[in-house]
Amino acid sequence: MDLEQKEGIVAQEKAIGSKKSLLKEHKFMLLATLLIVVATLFVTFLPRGSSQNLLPRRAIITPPLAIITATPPPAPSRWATSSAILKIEKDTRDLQSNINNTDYQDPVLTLPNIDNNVDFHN
Amino acid sequence: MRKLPIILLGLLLIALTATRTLADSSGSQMAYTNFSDIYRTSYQNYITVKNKYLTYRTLAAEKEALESGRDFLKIREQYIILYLNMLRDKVAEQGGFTLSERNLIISKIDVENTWLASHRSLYDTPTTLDDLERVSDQTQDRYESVIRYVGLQTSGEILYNKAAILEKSLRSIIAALEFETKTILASGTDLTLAQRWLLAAKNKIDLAKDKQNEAVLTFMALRGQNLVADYNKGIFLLSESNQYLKEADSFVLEIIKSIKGE
Repeated sequence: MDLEQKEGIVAQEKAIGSKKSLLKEHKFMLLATLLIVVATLFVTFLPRGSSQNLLPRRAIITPPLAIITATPPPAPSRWATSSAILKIEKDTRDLQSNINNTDYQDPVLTLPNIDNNVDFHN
Repeated sequence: MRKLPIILLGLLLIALTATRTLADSSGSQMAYTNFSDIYRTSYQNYITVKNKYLTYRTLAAEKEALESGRDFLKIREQYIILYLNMLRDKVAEQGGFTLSERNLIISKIDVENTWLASHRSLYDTPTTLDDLERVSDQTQDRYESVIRYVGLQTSGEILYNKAAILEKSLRSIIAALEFETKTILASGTDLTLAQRWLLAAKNKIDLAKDKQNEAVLTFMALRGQNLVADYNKGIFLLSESNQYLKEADSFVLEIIKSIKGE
């Protein structure tokens, strides 16, 4: 083998060696990227999922909204101003106060508290 | 001319009777309640003097006991008279009695008052404690057998009458309301609810009347040892009647509300 052939072989070996090292570097980079992606996904999703599952979530109860609608008062009947009805109402209210003020336990009506057994010897 | 004094006396008596009939019972009630203090003081004095006599048994103590006892028994008689007078005035001034009912009650009271007034003068004659006791016993017997029944029956009548007046007033209100509802119904207005209340109110008044009737029978039948207990039973029945009247009155107010559309 002449010198040129030897140099060619050496150059080829070198080229092959550099290609191998390049392939190794690529693999490392790919692995590192994959690890970073996995780690990022883990950090992003895992804590949220675990906290959601383990801790009871406070229920947010929103109070029902009271919707106040102004209801119009019932329209008084045409008898509401009738003088006869108004008189009856007044009489009934007067009588109510009479009934409430009537007391049948009137102590003045009961018998006087007297000594009805007068005896000078005992 | 000889008859003139008699005629004048007759006119005076009529005037006095008329004044008594129209009298306001508050005056006689005040006289009666105020007299209770005089009665109590006199009673305390009689007890003190009697105890002194029972301790020493001297002639002086006996004389003192006689005087004190005489005063006390006269005051006791006067106290009963004032009680009956107050009842008489209450009956006279209270509406609701028919003329015959009122006259009957008043005549019963007057008989007892006349008896007491004439008997009162008998206390001046006794000269011994035994004689004084005998005169006192007459009043006690009369009180136990007649006066206390007249007193409590009259009180019961007054209270019953009070309840009956309320019941009649409510009945007349309901009658007026019934008349109005008929007019309203004729106009085509629906009064189903009001008519139900009306029926319920009438039922309550009937129940009240039943209780009143029961009470008046209790008052009329007051006899014997359970006199006061029976009288209190009558009062309780009237209180029950009052409760029914209250309910009936509130029903009437509900009817009016529904008619007015409130």
